Amino acid sequence: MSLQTQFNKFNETISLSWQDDRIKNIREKNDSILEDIKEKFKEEGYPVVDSFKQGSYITNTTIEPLDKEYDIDVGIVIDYEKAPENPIDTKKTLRDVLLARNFKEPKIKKPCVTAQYFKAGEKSFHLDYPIYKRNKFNTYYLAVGKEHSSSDDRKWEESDPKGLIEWLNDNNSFNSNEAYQQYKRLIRYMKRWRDYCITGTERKKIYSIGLAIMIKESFTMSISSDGDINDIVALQKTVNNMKSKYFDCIDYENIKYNVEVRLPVEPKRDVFDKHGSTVGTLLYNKLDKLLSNIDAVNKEDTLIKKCELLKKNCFGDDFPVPDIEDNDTKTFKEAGYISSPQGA
Amino acid sequence: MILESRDLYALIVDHLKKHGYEVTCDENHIVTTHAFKDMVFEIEGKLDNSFPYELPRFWLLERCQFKHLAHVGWDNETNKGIICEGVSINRHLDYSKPEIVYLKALQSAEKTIVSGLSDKTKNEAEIIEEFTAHWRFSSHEEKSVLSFVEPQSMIVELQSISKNQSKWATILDQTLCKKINQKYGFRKRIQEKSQIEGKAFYIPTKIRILPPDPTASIIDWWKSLLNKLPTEQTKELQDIARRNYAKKLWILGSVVLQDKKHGWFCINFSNPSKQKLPIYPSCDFSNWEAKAYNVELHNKVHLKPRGGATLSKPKTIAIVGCGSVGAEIARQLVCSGVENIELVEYDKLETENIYRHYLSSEYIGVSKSEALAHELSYKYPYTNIVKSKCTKLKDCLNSSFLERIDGVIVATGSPTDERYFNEILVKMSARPWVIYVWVEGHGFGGHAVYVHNSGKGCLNCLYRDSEGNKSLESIQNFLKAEQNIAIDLSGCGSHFLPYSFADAIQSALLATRLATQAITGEMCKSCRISWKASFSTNSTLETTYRFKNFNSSLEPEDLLWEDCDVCQ
Repeated sequence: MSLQTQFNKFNETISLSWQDDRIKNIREKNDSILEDIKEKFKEEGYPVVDSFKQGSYITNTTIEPLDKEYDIDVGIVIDYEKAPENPIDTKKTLRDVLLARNFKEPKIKKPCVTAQYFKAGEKSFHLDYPIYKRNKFNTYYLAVGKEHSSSDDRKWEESDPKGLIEWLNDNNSFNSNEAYQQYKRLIRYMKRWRDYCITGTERKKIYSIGLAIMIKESFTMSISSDGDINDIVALQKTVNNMKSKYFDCIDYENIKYNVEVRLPVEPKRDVFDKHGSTVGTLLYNKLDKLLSNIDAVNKEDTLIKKCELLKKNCFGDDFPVPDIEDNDTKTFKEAGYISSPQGA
Repeated sequence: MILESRDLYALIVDHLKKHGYEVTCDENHIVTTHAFKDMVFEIEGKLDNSFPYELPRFWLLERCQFKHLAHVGWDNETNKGIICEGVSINRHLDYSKPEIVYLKALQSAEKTIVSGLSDKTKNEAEIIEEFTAHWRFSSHEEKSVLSFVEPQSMIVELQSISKNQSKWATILDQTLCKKINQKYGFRKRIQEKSQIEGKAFYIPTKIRILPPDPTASIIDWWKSLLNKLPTEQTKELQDIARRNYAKKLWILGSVVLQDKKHGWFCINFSNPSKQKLPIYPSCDFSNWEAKAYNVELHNKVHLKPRGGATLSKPKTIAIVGCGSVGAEIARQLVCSGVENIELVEYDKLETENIYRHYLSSEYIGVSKSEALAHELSYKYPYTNIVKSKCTKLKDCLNSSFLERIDGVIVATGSPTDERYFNEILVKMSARPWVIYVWVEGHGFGGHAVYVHNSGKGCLNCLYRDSEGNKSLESIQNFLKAEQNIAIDLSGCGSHFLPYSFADAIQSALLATRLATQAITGEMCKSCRISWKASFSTNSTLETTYRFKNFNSSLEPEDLLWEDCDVCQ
């Protein structure tokens, strides 16, 4: 058994797909809520013309949350011509739908409306609904602003949610499907690393979309010409690239960094806008620590020790540690025999 | 544009005159006059029908007055000497400008003559280096001497044989002939129904001597050579002459040239009565008539390098598996100069093999190893190709086999046997180098893996998956395992892996190239090499990551897998 096999097992363990049984309840809940939203929006005079899954489910980079608080993002699209001038009106309408569905304290956040679902008094999952209006040129505008935002802070902001999905899912810049899959795995690893190594409010500032953009733009594959896949080397090289690409030292005395990661599509804003220096310093140091931990892993001789370090310092309990060293390395993965394409 | 012959001559003459040449011309020839110091010489050019697609030929006129001239032939009857056009074997001509082609060729011919005339020492040195070619100008035109003799340092008595209507008189060295395998077909042909013809001796000389002037007598040249031989050699020749009387004598001689090369000559002496041999300076030459013969060499030193062989110490190579790939490797290795080959195979040649196997249908039903040994021995003289007592790869693991083998080439196409062999062999402290070679079905490619006789990197290094786990599937392959690759023509037992004869040859070449490098000691670590097809006969098969990303055909790649549990 190899380290890469452990990474593959880890990837399987943490991966979460839209069809996964673990989010069956949420899917069903979302389906019925969507019906209510469509009905209510129609009544209000701005019927829903489209809805689409957003975020990691559609880019296939969702991971099992450590706190088991699952979430889904669903974009609600209304027609440009029928949209109210004040975007908060649509958000309030959506909040009312959620209130009617007995969600406790649905919140109007700046980019979306969030509903938290509790089960036995514990947070169980939450739903995020960003609202867009779309014109005949297929340009999207996101409803931005909180309930009591000033007129300056509430607006329909040009946005390209589908362009972002396409960009993240575009495999043209990868020289093989194997490399593309490695990139996706790296996003999952980094998200789990973030969830494990950064906690509380700090963790919430390290947005998944920021990590995903950085990883795609910094990705260095590690697949040999024979097809040997080496995720730990790809991770190491990619993180190294991330460190040198997005961070500027802004205070040499106190060693503080600013981070700037721009969306690759409209509105091309900085993902970490307004948190640049706090997130920058935190993330830089954490990435640095990750690299030194990877170094330590590479220096270990045995698979068990490597896995133990990765489990303890990088990814948590989901990273598998084999029970017995080398026992499986002497065994072929196939049972008995295979048919070979060779002759002479 | 094709010019009429007359126009072509006119065009060239005009062009030469513009360049200051004194030219005369008749229907077939252009003669230019040249001067060097106080000497004047004329060059005659002739345009064949093939001109201007081939170079014109030039002769030096009044040849005899110039005596020895390097790169210039002799024709005593016409008193013309053809001028060598240089060493380039192939030229690309601008046939649209025949006058320019002619001028350039003429300038080259002129330069050859001037070079010979201007520096006597250099001229003679060049003639000596071209001894055999110049000897030809003095030789008997109808017959050549076919010499099986290797250059040696001692005088050796030879055997001269001849038969009616043969283009050769043949000179054999009985001792050296034993090194030619008994099955060699040409030797059989030469010796069959032939008769011994007089005495024959090989005389090596270390002196540097000019070949004879074709206008002078061969006896005189021979005498001058004998006078230059060292005393010891003269004494030895006197002794031989005292003991040998004959009417006919063949002298085969070699002169030492630069870079350990040799020039060859052969003289046939005849005398109406049996006389003491004319091989020392003070003997009576009066009744001896001498004729020079052109020498056609049939010896190892001369023949083997033509196939790219080096003449280092002979190695013994075992080829395990004499199928379409193994048989081709055997042939290629022999052509590359490998003398000792042991063939390991359990199978016989079947009718279904005919279109994919080197052996011809006359061997159907015969053991492949025996048939291959016979076929190659018949074709190539300096070989010792034998059918091994071993018939399977695992038989080759016995110590007596491994001790006599320098390298093993495994072309069984059986990954199970090959991996087992590798696993046992790699753990031995002293082992031969091994090359494993195979071809993939449907012409997707072929591979050869070289496992050095020491150090890490072995066949087992390839048996891993993309995650680094041990796998029965070789990471080297272009086709994924567990697919229906075999073709079935008539039910159970008639399956075969489809690949072409060309695929087999291409794969064999990989192994041959690696083997020749291993034999010459150029390989210092294990490696592997592949060829990949640009297209295949079957596009429905699933290919590997390596196939999709492979673009280094014929380039050696590292073999070592750090987690290999066999060689680490």
